[in-house]
Amino acid sequence: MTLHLKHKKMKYSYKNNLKGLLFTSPWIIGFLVFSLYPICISLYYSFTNFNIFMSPEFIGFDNYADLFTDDLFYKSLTNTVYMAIFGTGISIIFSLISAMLLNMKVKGQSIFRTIFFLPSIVPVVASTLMWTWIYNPQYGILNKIMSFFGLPELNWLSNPALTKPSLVLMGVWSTGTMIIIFLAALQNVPIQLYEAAELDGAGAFQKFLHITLPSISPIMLYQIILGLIGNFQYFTQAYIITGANGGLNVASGGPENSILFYALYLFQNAFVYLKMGKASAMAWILFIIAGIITYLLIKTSKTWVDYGQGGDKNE
Amino acid sequence: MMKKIFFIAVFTIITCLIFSERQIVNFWYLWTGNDAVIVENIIKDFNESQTTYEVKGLQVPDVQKQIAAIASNSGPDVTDNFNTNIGSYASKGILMPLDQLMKRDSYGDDFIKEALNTCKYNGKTYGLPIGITTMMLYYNKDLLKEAGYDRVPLTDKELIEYSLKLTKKDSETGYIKTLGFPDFPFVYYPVNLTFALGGDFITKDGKTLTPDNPGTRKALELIYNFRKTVGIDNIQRFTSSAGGYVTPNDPFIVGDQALRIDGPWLNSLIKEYNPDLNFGIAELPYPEGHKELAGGGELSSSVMFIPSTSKNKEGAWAFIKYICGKVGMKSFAIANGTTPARYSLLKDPDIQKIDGFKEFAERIEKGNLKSFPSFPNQQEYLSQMEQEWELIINGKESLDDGLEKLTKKTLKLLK
Repeated sequence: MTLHLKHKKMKYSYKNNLKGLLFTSPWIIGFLVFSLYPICISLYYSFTNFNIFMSPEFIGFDNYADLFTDDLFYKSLTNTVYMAIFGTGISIIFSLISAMLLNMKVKGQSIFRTIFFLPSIVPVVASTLMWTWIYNPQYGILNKIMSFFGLPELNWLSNPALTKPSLVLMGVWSTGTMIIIFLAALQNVPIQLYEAAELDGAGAFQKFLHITLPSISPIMLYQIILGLIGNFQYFTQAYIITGANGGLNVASGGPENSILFYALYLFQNAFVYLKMGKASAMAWILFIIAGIITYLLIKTSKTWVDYGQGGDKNE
Repeated sequence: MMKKIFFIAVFTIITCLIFSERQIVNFWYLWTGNDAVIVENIIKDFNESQTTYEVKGLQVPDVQKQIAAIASNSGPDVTDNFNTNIGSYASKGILMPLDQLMKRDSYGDDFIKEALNTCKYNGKTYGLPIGITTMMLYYNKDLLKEAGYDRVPLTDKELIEYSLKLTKKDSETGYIKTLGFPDFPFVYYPVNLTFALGGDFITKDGKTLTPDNPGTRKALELIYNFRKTVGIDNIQRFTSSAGGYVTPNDPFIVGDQALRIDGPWLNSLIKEYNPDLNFGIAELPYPEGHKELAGGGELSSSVMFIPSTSKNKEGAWAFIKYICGKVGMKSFAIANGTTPARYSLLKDPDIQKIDGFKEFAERIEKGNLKSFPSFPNQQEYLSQMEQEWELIINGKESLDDGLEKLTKKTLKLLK
């Protein structure tokens, strides 16, 4: 190629790049100002004592040291891990089973699907408040049902051992979106695989284990990652339940701090004790934890996730 | 010529309009419901009493929102809060010290000393008290009579004895029907009883925090013994399904609670929701054998302060002088039953007519009331103690272990 042509080509691609940059500049500026800058400055704050009203005072790793010797830090972490494992796990199991049921060709299938999906579009705050009434020990409907079946009436939201399971149950009620996604995944499993398995004499459970699960495994990975990340940031429901007795937003952690989740403790440090530095340190620790978990999950997923064999070849 | 006169006239009129416009003073308050209506009336009275400022009131029952707004320079000019936040806020530069203004206007003589002290931090005054809160022992006269008592328990020993007898359970389910101990709402119990039973949360020289003090020990022992005897599960069930605090279904108001620790507002609410309730108000119990400590308890106050980022400090000061002045504070006290924070008002005949006022005022003058210590980490101190107290009274931790833990944990809070 002559020098002249090469130069023209470079000038053309340079102009192209510039045009592209210009078109994406609104997003880039927004990202720099509203996402990247706050993220970086919070890293700086995590090394300072900062209460918003006075200038930050540099204290090195003190915030991190403080956290690693703080009882409540570990308590909030254990509570959050509990929610991440049991909340995500039970939600996934329940929504997969529901999706399989909703995949069956029965009369009123669309009505059932709607009913299962509706709870997920109820605003979180409203549904949490409603659930505090359902869980009311004396007047709540759940205890009435329990006593009808001769089961003991429990202190759902004031017994420290029951508060987290109650929240998990609340979460299971609103898994509509998870169900829809699993439903879509189930419908993409080629029927030929099932037919072939039946010819070989496979029972329902074997079909589930060897055909359904591997076929939807990419979606399963997606749901697990999303579920874990979501539950590591669990906040709203706990905040509403512990604050539902009024109290001018003191953001307590519930009976014996049983529902003091990581994000709730972060909120307490930031907005109740005005320790922005400590809260920023907490945020970065969570970022590292979430990053490690996601990395491990994706790394180990190669052993059980099956890409490229599900789905219709005629797509 | 005419044109010239015309323009001068217009210019003058416009200038006069601009300067005769009142300066806006933004007042955000935490009060809600009926209290908010009372506050708005006082605002109206203030606006009508002068022409320089116009106070605009806004109900913002969210402390975090207030703080965030003040931090970002879009906060109010004047706001209310509780003395338990003064130390924390003042040390962070959120509040404007008022000493100079008080000296300049020769203002502040009449305030009750203990109430004004709750507004101080490091020797400077950061707010003015608009009302005092002290808690008394409310008792249901009928329930006491049924149990064979003709007076309230006076000492800590009598408190537990009476409470166990006053508690009634449903024969079928074993659930508590009548609560004999002031266990609900629990949040008022520990601090008040600590003071009433002769303890304090800080040493007299203000240098060491004392979460493990004789008053707290006794208070926690009492409630733990009560809960253990009656059944911790039962208590949890009762308190979590009891009607909402100070709603018409409040357990004391409907007659399901025999003894109760609460503030002066409960008085007016009982009269409103259940006027037939036969109740009385008495002092909190004192430690057996120490009658000189009688009448103890916590004194806290509702405080008006000016944020350091206020855009109209003079206007805010003018309004605070009014609402904490004799006229403003009096209408506030009469309307919602708060105890006023001025000596002159304590003797005012209209105030003395308020139900229950006499009993509350007598205690203030007795002088055994104490306040929660004011220092930058006071919030965290209280939270840490509340969390440990909960474990202790639920039997998850022994009293000694819990208090030892607290002593260690809170060492670094007072720097």
